[in-house]
Amino acid sequence: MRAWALISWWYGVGWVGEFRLQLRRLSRVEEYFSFGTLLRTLFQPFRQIDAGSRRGGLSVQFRAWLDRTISRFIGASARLVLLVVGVAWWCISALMSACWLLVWPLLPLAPVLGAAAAALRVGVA
Amino acid sequence: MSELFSYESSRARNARTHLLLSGWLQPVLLVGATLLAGFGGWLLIISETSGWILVGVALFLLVPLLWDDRHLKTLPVLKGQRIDDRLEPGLLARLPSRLDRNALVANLSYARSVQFMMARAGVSPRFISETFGEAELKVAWERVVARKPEGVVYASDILASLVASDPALTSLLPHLQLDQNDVDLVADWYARLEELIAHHSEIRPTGGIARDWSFGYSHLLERFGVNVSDRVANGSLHVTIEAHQDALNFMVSTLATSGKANVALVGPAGSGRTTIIEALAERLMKDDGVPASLKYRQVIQLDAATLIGAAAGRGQLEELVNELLVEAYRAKNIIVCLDDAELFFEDGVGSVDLANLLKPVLEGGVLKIILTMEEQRFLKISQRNPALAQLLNRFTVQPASYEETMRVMQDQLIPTEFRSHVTYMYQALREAYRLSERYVHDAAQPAKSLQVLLSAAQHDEDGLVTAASVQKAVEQNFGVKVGASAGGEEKQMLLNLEQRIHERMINQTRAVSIVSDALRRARAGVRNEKRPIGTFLFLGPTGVGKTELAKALAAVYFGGEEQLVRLDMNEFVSPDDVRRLIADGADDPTSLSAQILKQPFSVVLLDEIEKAHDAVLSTLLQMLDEGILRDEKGREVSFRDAIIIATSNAGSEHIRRHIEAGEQLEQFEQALQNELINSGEFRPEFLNRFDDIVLFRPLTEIELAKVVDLIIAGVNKTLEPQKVSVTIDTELKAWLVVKGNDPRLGARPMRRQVQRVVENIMAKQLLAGAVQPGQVVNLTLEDVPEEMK
Repeated sequence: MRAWALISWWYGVGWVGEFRLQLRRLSRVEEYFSFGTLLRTLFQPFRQIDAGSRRGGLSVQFRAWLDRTISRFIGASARLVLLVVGVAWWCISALMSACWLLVWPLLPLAPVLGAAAAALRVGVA
Repeated sequence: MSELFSYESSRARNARTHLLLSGWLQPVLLVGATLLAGFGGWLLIISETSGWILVGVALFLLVPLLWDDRHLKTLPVLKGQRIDDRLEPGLLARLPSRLDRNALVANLSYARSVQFMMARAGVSPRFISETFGEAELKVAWERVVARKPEGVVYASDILASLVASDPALTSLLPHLQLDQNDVDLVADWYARLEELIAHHSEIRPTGGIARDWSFGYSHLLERFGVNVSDRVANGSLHVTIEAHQDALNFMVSTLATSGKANVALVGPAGSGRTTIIEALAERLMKDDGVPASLKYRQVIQLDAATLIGAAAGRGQLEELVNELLVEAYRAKNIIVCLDDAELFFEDGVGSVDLANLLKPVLEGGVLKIILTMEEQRFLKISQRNPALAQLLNRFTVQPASYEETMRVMQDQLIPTEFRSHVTYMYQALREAYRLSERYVHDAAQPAKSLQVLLSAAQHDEDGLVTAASVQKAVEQNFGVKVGASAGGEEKQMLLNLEQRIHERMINQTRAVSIVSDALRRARAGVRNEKRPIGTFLFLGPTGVGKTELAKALAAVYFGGEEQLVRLDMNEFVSPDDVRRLIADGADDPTSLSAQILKQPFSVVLLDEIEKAHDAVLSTLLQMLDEGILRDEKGREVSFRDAIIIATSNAGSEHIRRHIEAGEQLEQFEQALQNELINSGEFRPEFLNRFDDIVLFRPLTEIELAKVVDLIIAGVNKTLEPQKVSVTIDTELKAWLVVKGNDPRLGARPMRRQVQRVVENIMAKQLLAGAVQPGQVVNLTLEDVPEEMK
């Protein structure tokens, strides 16, 4: 009876729950790398360095524009790097989650599969 | 039992499986899986295909562990209302198929929630009666379901309802200083802690690694302030304040506007203003319902006193605050919180007024600012600078109610207990609230209850902080006696109080007995706690013991004559003297209010009350009636732990006349009071405020002889260091009574007479070396020099 309870949970609510758990893990990776913020602020100045407006002549205004542009460039570079790293991380995590979800239904059958692999001499030349 | 509990239900069986898997089986399975996987892997490395079988078995062993971890460990509550649908898994797993009294008691005792209840309130499942059966359990369970229609039911909920359903158990509760409602609240306390723990273990959103990249640096703000948002994100702070939801909603909506984006949290110190700031920081970190303009904003708390201390020089503070505000503006993601902001708007020599600096910032709405201020100070600032007050969006923070304070204490005690290695009982929390309401006047709830509770940790009994621990802490901190029932020695002293007082004064038995009764009522816990211990007007001629009784009381019961706060009311003869009565302690430490704030457990003696001005007497009315006097700053000063004695010579001639006519005091008491009112010496509303008007009779010659004995005893006490004592014979005593007796002045001249005769003779003999240590000098009338006779 207990075995039936385990099996029915494993291939029903348990598998769905595991899927949700993996989704939550991926959303935590997304939250950690803050993809939304990175994309929304991609070209914004980095840490507001020289982001303020300045009063003065044409040369001052040009200098301010240049400073802001450099700050935005630094910001965009840093964000792009983080985006690339984050997306890569997210992809690896998603792949691992998918593998785990595929392995999940096979776990209760592992001894049978192991015996089959042994009989078929898998991995032995 | 079947309609209540199904042993074979799926949830009950899952609970039992979890108990098995979380016990010895778990390490066995883990170790087995590891060994099999390791050995199987090794076999595969050496090309032995049987290794696959071992690896397969090792993976299979993980299946029950994953089942337990993902499902059994957190068994959800079902919709049904049977015991097995909702009971906490830990207890459910242990319930046998047939529930009898012994099984239930044993299993309840095992549950953590019941152990919590035993430690916090002293309520134990062993109380459950021997005749307990299915019917009792059914009634108790129905009560649990009615109290908690949904959610998990803890063992403590069942125990609380078992107690409620059994009159024999309920009758035991008063012995624990509890009632049924308290038992239910302790059960709720445990459930709340479980919720808090679950909430605390949730992963908190932080906004991610790039959250602040598009905002400016805030080095200066971080240096002079505290980043509340960081503390919340790091989990070092946990905030739960249901009581302040309105304040929180107001702050979020106000700070999200583009106009005057500021909030002034106005309320007494200790009412939770800072906690609201912390709750705001926590809410801004969450996704739910926070406007985009506030999401992930950093709340930086600047302490006014720290800033003022850091910028001591002239103009430096303005400069520093300006720099901080500019930095916050540039950063674009900061909410500046000025704690105790009233310190920035002071006037007078040496104080700071940053109103002119802050007004444009508040007006422009370019920076989101929160100010916390004390209520009275805010009113003063508003009076002085209405323009500034108009710029602020005020929210008044009320002190927490009893229920809110209890919840805050319950939430915040856990880390305190961990640090202090003590356990607080529920009774201690309730007592802390009661006593802090009474004795702590410089803070509001819940801070003052917490303050009392923290100090009670030093008075724990075997690691347990009880109501008695709280009482001891209050007694030590405030110099009062608060325990309702006195200890053995004190009990004896209270029972023999009259005898102890009569060791110091002669006769006036009625006065002594009235005052002693008042004290006994107070210590037995049967007096009205909203009034002073007793208020008495002593009437009688001079020198009959009125003042002496007050002194004796202070010495015998209140711990020494220094516990007597004495005011000669002939110094309060004009309306201007009212100020001296209620002056702030900082300006006049001798004012009545200042002295009582310092030592609330005292005898207050208002000598010659009839000489005080009417305005002074009117000021004293509330003190006599409710035990409260407001000082010049509007603070309530409590006289509820004091005995107030007013003395007067008014009517002394009448007393003498009646006594000489052979009447007893009780016979003319009422007539004398009427006479005092009719003659205008006292207003009826003033006399009405006293618990008792006590008449003192003139002393007879026999009583005066006893007074001589008391005075001689006093002389001997003075001579004690020289190991010499003196006695007088009957003839000398009679002579002293005759010489020292003056019907107008009572026993006062007697002291002077003894001083003149006995002390002078002894002084001469000591100087002449005629008296040796250890000697008892017996004086007779012959020893008195002729010139003294």
